[in-house]
Amino acid sequence: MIKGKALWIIGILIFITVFAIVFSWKMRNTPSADERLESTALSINEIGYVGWQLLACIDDNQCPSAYDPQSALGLMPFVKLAEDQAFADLRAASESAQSLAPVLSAVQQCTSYCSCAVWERFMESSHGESFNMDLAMESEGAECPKWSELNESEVNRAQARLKHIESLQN
Amino acid sequence: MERIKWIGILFLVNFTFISASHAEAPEARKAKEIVGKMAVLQAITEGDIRQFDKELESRDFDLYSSPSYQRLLAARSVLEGLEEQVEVYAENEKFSKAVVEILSQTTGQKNLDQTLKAEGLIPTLRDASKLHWDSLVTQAQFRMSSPALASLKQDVKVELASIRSSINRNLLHFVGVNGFRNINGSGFRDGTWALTYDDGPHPSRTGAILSLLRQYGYSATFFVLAKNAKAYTSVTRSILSNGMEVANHSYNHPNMAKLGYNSLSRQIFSSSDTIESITGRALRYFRLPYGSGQNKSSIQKMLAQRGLIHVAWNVDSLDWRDKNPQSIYNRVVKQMRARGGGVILFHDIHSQTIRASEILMREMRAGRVPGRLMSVSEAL
Repeated sequence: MIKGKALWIIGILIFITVFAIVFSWKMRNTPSADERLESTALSINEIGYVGWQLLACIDDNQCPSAYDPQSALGLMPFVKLAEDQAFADLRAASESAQSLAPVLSAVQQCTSYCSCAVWERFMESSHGESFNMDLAMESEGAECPKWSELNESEVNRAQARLKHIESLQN
Repeated sequence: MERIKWIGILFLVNFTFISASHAEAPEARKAKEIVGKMAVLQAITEGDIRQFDKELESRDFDLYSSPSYQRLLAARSVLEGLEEQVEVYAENEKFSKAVVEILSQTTGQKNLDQTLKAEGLIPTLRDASKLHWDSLVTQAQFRMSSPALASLKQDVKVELASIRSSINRNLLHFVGVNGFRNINGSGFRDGTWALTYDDGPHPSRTGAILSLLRQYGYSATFFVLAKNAKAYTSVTRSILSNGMEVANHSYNHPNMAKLGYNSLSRQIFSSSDTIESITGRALRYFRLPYGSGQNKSSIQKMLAQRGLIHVAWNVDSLDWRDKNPQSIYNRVVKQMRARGGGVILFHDIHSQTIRASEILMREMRAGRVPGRLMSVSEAL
């Protein structure tokens, strides 16, 4: 009888241990709402940068490799789609996040990504015409780095965004 | 003095008589026009048939996505149109005689008169074209092989362009195996611009654009989201009351390529019901959000089932990404100059679009940008 009870206790202990390990592992690997907010806000800046590069390709023929103005023009609707998806993700993440600080910080960096127009569209689509955030002051005189001026890790990140946008075409 | 006056009058009468006697009969002119068009058509389809044969050898060949097959079908419909014209003139002896004369001169065949009597005009034309056009035309360029036809050279050069645009127009109306119809404006006549606005109606900005259109005397097609049309019913109705056209742009702008059957049905059927109940008019056109999903057969079937024609674009303002009206205008005009005619895409929910549209309308009205802005229905 006692033997049977001990087995039960051991079984429960093993279950609790396994549960605790799996739960803590999952918690460690699932980004918190704040982390998701931060990474989505950054992704908006990065998509914005890629969109700006494609715009420069269309208007001034300054194209990233493997693109010409015509192919860049064909990709632009999918830049919009990527932006819209990121907007939806940002709204979802902001509902459970404790602080909106990562968003504000990303907006402050918009000049260096040439993504201020993207943030303006996000604010207006979320809060309506009355919320007219004019980032023109921030954008004025800002110079975005050309693709060729980016360092290796920046190029990799921009390439990853571009690949993601291209994948939306299929 | 009197003598000089009479000499002048006599000279003038004589000149008029000589000119009139050399003027071409209308039947002969028509015959040249039709035979010329058929020749060009034959030349273009020759290339497409070769291309089609090559495509057939490919493992992934798909008949209804083959561009050469689509061009061949379009060319056939143009040819049928020409044959209808021939039928109208078939009873006219002068016309038949002129056709035989042209064919005899170019092909060197002498018994065409008898063939004509035995088989009729259209089969004669078809046979003659099979026999001869290969040597007459190469790579869709007209090469005159017979000195007797030298006078046709100029006419034929003009026809080449017009035939191409007829083929493109037919291509744009190409009905796929599932009845899907798609337009992107690339075959429109030069200067024909379908002006389109997406994503509205907007409570204030749509009205501002309507005022501009009224002021400059142009019309446009508004691809509305059913969600917005429901929220701003009076703005939606005002689009129609201002003489513009309302079309469907889905319920709430999702990426339709990723949707399942039920969601697609809501985005196409339910949204159409909503918009039609507000406007009281049947919809004719649909535009997929982001232009995404045009090749998806479930979407094509649903659009065909509802009788909606998909309208893509060939000039993109990118007004959703650019806040500067002048650079939006510059981008639009740059593409317009490259395309010649087509469908322009704007979004009536952005403030910069109002100013960019105004610059475009003003410059076009002043004649600095060639062409005319109109709704999709007017452009077709």
